[in-house]
Amino acid sequence: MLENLFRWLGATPVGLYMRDSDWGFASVETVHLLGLTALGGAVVVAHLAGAGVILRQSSPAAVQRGLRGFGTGALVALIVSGVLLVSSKPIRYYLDGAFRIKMLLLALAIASSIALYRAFANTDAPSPALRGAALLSLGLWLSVGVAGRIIGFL
Amino acid sequence: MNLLVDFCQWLNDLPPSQTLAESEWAFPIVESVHVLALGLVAGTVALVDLRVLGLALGDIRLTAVARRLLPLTWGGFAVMALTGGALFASEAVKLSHNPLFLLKLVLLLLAGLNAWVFHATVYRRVAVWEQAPVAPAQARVAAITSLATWTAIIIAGRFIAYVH
Repeated sequence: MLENLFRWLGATPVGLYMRDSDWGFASVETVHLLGLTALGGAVVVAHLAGAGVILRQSSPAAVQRGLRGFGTGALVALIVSGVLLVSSKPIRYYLDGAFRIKMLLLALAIASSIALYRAFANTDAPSPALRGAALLSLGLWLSVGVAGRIIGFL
Repeated sequence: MNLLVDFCQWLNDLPPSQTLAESEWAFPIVESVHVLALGLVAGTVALVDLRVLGLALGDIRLTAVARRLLPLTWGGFAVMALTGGALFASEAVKLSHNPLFLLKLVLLLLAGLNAWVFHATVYRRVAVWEQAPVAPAQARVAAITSLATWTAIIIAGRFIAYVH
């Protein structure tokens, strides 16, 4: 069923354009890289503030609230450009182990970030466990990036 | 000019450059670290720019944002420069003919110059305008220039691989 979804994506006009165009893939990939940079900055700062490594004078909740709009925008740009990249060769990605692992890690990273955002918003004095969880969640995002880079080599 | 060509050739022929160029795994790994470090540099720079423009981290003082993020920016920059230098050495001759690589170098200089001018002028008086609802025009122009330059650096960097 999931495979059919990927097949359908590749057969849409957008998918056909991404497959046949010389510069389509390169341009969208660059947008994906810009989104990665933007999200990377927001994720690193939000998580390090949560872990108490930087911006200790401010509450992690205030830092994270201040990054939410920008970070969400970057994530949306990454997902839209990512879907376009996949549409160029959907079955190749569908069968790629690194791609599957990346999607799994991405889902975990998004879920853990939302959970942490809520937990930090509800406390004035984050517990050591919550601060440690922020570091783990940051590691999860890093692994998403590494898995993404590996896709390009396979 | 000849000296520059000779230098690139010499760099290219160094044993470590050859090892990096020929290794199946070292190049991709160094390249991945380069991209992640770039994300840290441009990402933290962009957050300071967005704070100047009032588009992110509105509840945190600009000086606090700038002071705390700068070590991350410099740490990332050190990794980016080291990995970038190694990547360049492995293909120095080829890259010295690549227009996008040269453009990227110019843009990096521009980004550095813009940051230096910002810190040497309007940021010196930051205590005066930090609490104001809108940053001075010069600071906003510097922030927009920085965002545009880093965007262009990333685009040029990605397209180095597509141009021969």
